[in-house]
Amino acid sequence: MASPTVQRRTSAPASQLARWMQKFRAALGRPLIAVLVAFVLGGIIIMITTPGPLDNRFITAVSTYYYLIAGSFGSLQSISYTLAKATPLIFAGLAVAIAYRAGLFNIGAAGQLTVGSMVAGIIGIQLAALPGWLLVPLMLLGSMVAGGIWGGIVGVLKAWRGAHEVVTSIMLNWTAFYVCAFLVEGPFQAPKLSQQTLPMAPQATIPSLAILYNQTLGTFLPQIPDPAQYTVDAGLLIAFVAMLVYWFITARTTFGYELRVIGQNPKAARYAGISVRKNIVMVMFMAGAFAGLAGAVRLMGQAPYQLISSAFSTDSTGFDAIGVALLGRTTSIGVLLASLLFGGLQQAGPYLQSYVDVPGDIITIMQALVLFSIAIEYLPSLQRFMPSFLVKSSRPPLVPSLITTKPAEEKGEADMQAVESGHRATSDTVEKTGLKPTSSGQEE
Amino acid sequence: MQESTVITRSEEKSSPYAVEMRDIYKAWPGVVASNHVNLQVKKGEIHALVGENGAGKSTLMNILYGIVKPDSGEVLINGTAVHISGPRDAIRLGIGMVHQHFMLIPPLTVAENIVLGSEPGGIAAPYDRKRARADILALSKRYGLPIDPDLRIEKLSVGQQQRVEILKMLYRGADILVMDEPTGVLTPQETDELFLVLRDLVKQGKTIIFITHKLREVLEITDAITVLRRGQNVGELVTKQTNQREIARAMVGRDVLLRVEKTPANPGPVVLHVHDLEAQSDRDLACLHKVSLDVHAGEILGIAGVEGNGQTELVEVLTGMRKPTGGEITMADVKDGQAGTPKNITTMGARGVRVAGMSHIPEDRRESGLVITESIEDNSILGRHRWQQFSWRGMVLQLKNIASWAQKLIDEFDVRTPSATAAMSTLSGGNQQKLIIARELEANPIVLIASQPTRGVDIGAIEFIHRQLIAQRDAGKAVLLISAELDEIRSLSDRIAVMYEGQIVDIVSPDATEEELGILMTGGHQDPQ
Repeated sequence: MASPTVQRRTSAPASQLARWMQKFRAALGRPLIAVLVAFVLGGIIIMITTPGPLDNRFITAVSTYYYLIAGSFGSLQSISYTLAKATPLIFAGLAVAIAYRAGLFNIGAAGQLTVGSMVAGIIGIQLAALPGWLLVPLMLLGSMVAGGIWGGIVGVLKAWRGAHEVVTSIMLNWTAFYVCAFLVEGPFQAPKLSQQTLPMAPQATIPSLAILYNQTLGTFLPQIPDPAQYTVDAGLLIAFVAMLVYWFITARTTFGYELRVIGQNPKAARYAGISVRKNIVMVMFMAGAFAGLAGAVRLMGQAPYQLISSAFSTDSTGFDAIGVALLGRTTSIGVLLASLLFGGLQQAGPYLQSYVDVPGDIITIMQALVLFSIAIEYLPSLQRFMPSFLVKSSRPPLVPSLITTKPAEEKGEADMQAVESGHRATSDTVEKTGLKPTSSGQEE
Repeated sequence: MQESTVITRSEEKSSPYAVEMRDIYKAWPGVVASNHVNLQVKKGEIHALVGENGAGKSTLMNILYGIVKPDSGEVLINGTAVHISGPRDAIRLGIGMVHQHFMLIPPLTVAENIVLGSEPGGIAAPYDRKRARADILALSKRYGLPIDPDLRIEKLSVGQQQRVEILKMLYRGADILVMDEPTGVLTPQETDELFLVLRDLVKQGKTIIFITHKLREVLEITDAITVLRRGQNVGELVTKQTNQREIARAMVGRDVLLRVEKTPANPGPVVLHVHDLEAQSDRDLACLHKVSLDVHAGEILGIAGVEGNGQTELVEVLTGMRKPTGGEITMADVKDGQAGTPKNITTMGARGVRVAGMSHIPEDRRESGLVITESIEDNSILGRHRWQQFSWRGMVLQLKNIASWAQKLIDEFDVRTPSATAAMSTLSGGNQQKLIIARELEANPIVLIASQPTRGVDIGAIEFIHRQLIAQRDAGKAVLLISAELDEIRSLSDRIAVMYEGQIVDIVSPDATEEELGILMTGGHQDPQ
């Protein structure tokens, strides 16, 4: 027997609450720090770029953050704008996240989203005679299938030809942008206009959430006054459903289990008889379907309800989604929170321009800084200098925190595993020194 | 470097020790990893540091290498108290560590790997390829470690890679080499070569700390032994005056059965039938040539052979991980001592053969047997996650059933873990292996394929695993055991098949001498008697 330096605890496992707390900290600790670091850096950049004496600059930076919050979550109306911006991000974020679970980096959400919105648009225009209860689901379904196929191509190329998904998905992005731009300016061009299709018929759109409420629950509950000012559409509800589906797939199905195995250790997948190829194609199809929905919901839920050829390649949703998925640590709640953050930033951008005279572009810088500080977290050389409670979150503690009497010392958690086994120790050292083993020791 | 040698000479008399660790105490929350441990390593000796997994060997070495800070105690190098706050300090003091898992960069050449981080000319100058090459050739000549500095690491065998690691430490001026389980990945021949190198290094004045599980090696190569158990010193032994049994007792704290106790086998009908099996390796070269085998119920068939003679591929084909290019595998259930109708499992795939009743303990648990980042629960159903009891129609996971299954494995096989939801990576190597064995045995297989089942686990766990394999045999399972440890094969098997270059060259009884087996394993033929 391995000598029991740590005895098996017979005491009851940590209470439900404590376990939730632990989970919460593990899931949110690093992303929160990443966001905080980005904001501090963003503040410094604002201070550098604004004119005037130092205290003036400082006040500008502080008031920037004030208006950032006020502009995104300060009033019901701004919250509704933020939610409207966040909705497509949620779908697209899930598209990146689910692929990431299988160890695939889906850069192609933008293209899948484009194709999805195009197909939804085509269905909406061609079948405009159909009633809404049939047309809307048809458009959503069409966008999912189209996006799914677009993603599935990436999966097939990866599974059978070994083509790297980053390369193929970027190439397919541009294919999608240009093909769809051609379609919009060609066969589906609106009469007398050059770059747009016709707007969707009213029954081919997703209603605003406030109006939908007034028409349904509002008939016997208090009505929302002046519902037109709240632009968030019912696509948000579909996004919640998508989150639920995502959670169920990843946490409760054998498919999600197989994705995890493939993503974490492809050799174990082979050992277990899990078909890597089939799963890669399936997961890329699902990713594409999520992204396709993002495009359809954006088209059907928000003005101008039409496809614009120049917007395909300039819409940043598909790329912001990468940040959303990584910041959200590929969990559905995380994706929601990260979408709210990114949506809020985008919503508040114009406010900054008008209230504090800081260019709205600072928002883009901040998004980049958030991404940057998440990415930096993965650098082992920096990991060594990180406070222990952050390092810990990446590895579940050996001993439940309830029975520890004093807080873990620096690097304590990591090294305790080293105590437990000679093998661990060497690989821990591997991580600490920032080098990769060449032999069988690959582990994370 | 120069300075430290000077110190060495002047204090030769006062301190015979190259490394002295005094009263080292280190506690982690909830566990004392090092409880007032002392270690004294004389200059120019090979000093074994032995102990089970979790005994505190690694903590001690990590303290020496500056990765872990001790709570109290002091470290003396060549008689001088030193403060080591990181590997950089350790290297400066002449301590070099050769890790079990090599830290080399596969696409770079030998020379590039060796000089990495201390390139001739320093960080500002361009990389001086010629000088690096010359330095390394001189070094390899001086220490008798021949190597081609222009080869890329990925082209090298494991033994050669280890040689590069050693050269890397020597290049950095190491006088004290810490070798962490250096033989775990080596073939017997490579091990012999390594031992020659180590003896040579000692002759040239180096001091070596040798961490290992293998007692035979301790007796063969070392001069002195420090035994740790549960973070404490339990023995300082002189190799010449001790024996395997004494070391084992010190490590485990009780007598250990070095020979496996078993009754004669009672073989039943043929369960696993392999006929003219052919397969190709990853490089599309034929690696199995008409392999035919019969494994009976209630017997252990051992497969002996130098690693790389097709054993890995044979196991992969049998367990559905690799498609054979020819031949047939059939498997029959046994009821009341009678074999059922044989089922052809040749092309069933890994999932299919498991359903048919095969269990597989893979040769490298970290690489393929486990998903180290996931929980014990997740790992407890790996390969069987679509089985009825774990998922509804093979689609929706039955979390409650999985949890109770995982708990059952933990309880029945005494896997030491705080909870079933802990990540696999938090378990020690021996406990990881126990979970795999639990998973594969609890599935109640007809055929068990155990590939290197005790590699890298400590003595206590080896004993446990051996007893489990015998128990499976006695319960009427057909067991196929593949191991690089000849001792293990000989003491467990009822028949031994010897593999050489993808063929079964002979099937002999376990009474065959090591010499006879050795001749077969290297392609020689047994003399007709």
